[in-house]
Amino acid sequence: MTQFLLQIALAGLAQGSLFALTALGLVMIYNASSVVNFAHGAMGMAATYVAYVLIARFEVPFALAFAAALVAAFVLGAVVQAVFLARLRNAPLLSQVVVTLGLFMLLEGLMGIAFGYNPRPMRESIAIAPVILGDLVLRPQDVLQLALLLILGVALAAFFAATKVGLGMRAITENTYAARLMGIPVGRLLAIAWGTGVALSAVAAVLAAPTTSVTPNMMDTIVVYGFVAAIVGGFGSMAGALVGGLILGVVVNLIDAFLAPELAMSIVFGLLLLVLYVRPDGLFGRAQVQKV
Amino acid sequence: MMGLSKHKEEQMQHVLSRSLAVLALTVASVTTAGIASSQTATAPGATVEGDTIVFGQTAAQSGPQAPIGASKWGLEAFIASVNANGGVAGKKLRLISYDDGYQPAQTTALDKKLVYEDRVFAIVGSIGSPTTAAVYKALNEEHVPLLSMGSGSPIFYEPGLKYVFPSWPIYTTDGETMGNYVKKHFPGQAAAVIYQDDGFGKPILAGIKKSLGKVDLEIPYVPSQVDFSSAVIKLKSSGIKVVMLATIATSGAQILNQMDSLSYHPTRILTSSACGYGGIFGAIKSLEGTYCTAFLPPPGSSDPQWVEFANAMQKYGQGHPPDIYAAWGWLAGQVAYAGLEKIKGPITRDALVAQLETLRNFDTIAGKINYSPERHEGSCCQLLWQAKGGKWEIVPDSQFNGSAMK
Amino acid sequence: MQRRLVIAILVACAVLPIAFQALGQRQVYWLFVISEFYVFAIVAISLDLLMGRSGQISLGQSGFVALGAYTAAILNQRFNVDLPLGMLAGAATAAVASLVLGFPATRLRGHYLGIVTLGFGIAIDQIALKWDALTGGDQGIHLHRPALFGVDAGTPVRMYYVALVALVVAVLLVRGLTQTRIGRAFAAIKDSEVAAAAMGVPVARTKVLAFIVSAFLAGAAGGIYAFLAGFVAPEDFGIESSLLFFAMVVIGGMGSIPGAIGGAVVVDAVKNAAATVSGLSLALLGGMIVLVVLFFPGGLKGLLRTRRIRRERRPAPKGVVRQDA
Repeated sequence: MTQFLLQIALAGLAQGSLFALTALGLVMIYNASSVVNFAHGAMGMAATYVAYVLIARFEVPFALAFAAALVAAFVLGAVVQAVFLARLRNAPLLSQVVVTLGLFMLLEGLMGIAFGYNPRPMRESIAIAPVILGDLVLRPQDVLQLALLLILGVALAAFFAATKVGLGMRAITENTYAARLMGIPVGRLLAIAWGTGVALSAVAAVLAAPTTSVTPNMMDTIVVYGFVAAIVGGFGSMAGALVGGLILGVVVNLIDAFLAPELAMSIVFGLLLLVLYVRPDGLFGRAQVQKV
Repeated sequence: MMGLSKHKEEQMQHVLSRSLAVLALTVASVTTAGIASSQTATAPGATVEGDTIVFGQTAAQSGPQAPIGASKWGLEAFIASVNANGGVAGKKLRLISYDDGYQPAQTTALDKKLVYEDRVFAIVGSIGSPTTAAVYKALNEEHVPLLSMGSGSPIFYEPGLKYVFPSWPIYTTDGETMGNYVKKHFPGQAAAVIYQDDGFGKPILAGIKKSLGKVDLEIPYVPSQVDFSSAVIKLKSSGIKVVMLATIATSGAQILNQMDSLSYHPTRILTSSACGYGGIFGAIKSLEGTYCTAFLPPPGSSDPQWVEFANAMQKYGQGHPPDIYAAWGWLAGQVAYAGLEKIKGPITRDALVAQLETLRNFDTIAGKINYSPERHEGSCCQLLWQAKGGKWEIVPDSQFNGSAMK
Repeated sequence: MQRRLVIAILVACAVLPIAFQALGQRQVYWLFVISEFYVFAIVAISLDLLMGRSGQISLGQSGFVALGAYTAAILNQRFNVDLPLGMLAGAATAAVASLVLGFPATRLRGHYLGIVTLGFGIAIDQIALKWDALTGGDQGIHLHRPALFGVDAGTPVRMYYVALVALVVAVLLVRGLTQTRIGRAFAAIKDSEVAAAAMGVPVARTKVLAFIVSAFLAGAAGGIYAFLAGFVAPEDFGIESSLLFFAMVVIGGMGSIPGAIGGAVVVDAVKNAAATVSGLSLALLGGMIVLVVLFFPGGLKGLLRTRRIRRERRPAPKGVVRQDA
């Protein structure tokens, strides 16, 4: 039983690392621009098609294709910010959120037109045989996912603490208007934040692809859990998103194993409502004062 | 309405009363004029009058279920080859096929279009359980034949309806095929079922239990689920040796890949709905040795029915490959043709139904099918495929309608 | 002049079935399609009330439609409950659900509601699929032929009038509501929650109220839809259809009833015209949403108005500080 629980927890953490990566990107974008990016998963999905085409058609090695997908995701995020959202700087927040929903539909539709809805297979991220310890199977891709999450988490923390760009972003999070007055290049920083955020979604998408296969809606479920992880983490705290994602992964796998896998998302949302009743700012969020 | 100024309130009342009065008047006049009484139950076009018999079909061409819409091309190829040979009963055939996106509400609207606007003679080869479930009762009441729908859901077989003619084996047959094979070849081994928790997966589970007696572990899931780690871990740690998968294509692929990644290699049996698509050998790494229930010969088979279909697809398939989905459409064409061919005299819907009900053991690409006034059975029996060397082969002791599978 | 136009459209809709007599039996299809459109327009109006008037996003509007439809269908199947009562029961169920959902959701910052309603839509779908003893699972529920106060209402013409009357009532209801103090409170909240609170508007209560009325209307539409189609199944109420309703409101122009109805016309047209290519209608609608927000913030409605007043137009004052920046 402990073996079994351990294996479930391990699978949960691995899956949770995908939720956490998605949530990290969401929070990064939200902190910079106050926009919940509903196109987040779709943008990561679109970047995954870059990796897919490179691997399937040009037989590029996985690592290289992965890197190309990240570059594509960064460019996509930055362009979306600079072209679409920058124009809406003075529009109501609702309009900005609506645009991301439009982009979600547009990207899923375009990939559907280009590649169809037949699931396309994606090669395993690393071709190493699983390590077997007694009854416990250690999957190399699980380890890779968790390691990447931790490395990126630490890198992001360092980025915000020590680099000029990171400090500028924190200033924007505090007060965009004041940051602009202080001469911080807000536009450029927003583009970088969006690019990095979407790249994080692409990391999750490419890592998920061997399991989900590559389809236009491959990220739909993952990104919804990413939203939940971000809310649980307080939607604003990167550390909260990371921990929230990992916890959610374990919770989902426990529901799958012991309760009702066919109702997993319903149960998760029921739990989320409960959490929000008790703590409106999430488990790890601090109460926010609304600024005018 | 609180807070409403007196003036506004009066205006509102005014508009409200005036518009309701207009409506009431019209409703009254339309109804009393006896217009509403022209809505009778039977649909137009019960008798073929021109030189063309028109079939109607709904099949998803968009959305996540779009791949199954390829059945349209098989039906088109069948119709083209019949017409090339002079048609049937002195008439040519024509198909009007609409995309319902696998949404029952769309199917409801589109079938009304097919029946009342396009005045088709019969609905042939429409795809999907929930989509067909939305319309089969209405079509039966309108006396419009519904032939060879793409579903083995028990609701279309029991209790049978006069104008409804399924052609697939009922889904419980998939389960019985699996169960019987496991009982014969893997007796005493711990067996489990992963099933989609709906009208597709549950009848298969019922069929398995009926033929196998009991299963050691049952795991439900929903199609939106993407990570099956927990399910696979559970199977593995329970010492399951035989896993039967009542899944659709995407979930089946995900589960088998998870098994591989967790170094878990039980005997695996998929259902016909999960292994018909072309890319399966690329999508599942460890497919070798996997079984699959089927009511059609595997792609590339030398079965004469399959060869005829594949040749027709090459000629009339408009570039679409002869895959399982297209074969569903071909099968639907065969069923419709078999009834039409025997009609003497005017071609009416009731004549078609009467002739279909005389068909015993008639040969289709899906084996032999039986219809009678008492029962509209689909194909009775199934094959078992096995993945060998990158393609599907028929398991030697399984054959259509043969005693071996019974 | 506007009122006269509205009355003219109304009369045209009311006499349409007479003109359709010329179509013979083909009218069965056309009456159905237009009735269905009226029902969808009610949902669009309900969502517009939420998004366009009070500035909240719902991505699970079809969840409320589903609750209404299933309530009506189950009551009809088990207890032979008829159209008016079934519709009201459906609306009430949806309103109660919105209350449970709305209280925590509206206490939060705005976009949370988008995510919570998204989850709600998915959950309703899963539960309808799972609880098949009640809902028939994926095989759905077939309803009995509808009756209205003991009179058979199952003919296409009669269902057409049921849908039309329902749409007119919904329009009048929302119109009436927006002209009351409550409606002004909605608008104040949409502009700025903080400012609204400062003016003494009970923000949370008003947001929940908008949510409840919206859900009530969507539930009523669901109830009528169940009787119109005669069949209810989970696949019809997924995220895809929520997105369609969302597209109707945005493309039509938020905060306008004619806009919502016009948006419903456009979305219906695109959906049907682009149906043969996988993904095309989704891409087109998504693209239209982006274009509308970027270039025509008033949507269809705004487009018409801009033309009329282009000459006298002055650039809108800029430099308004974003709400929570």
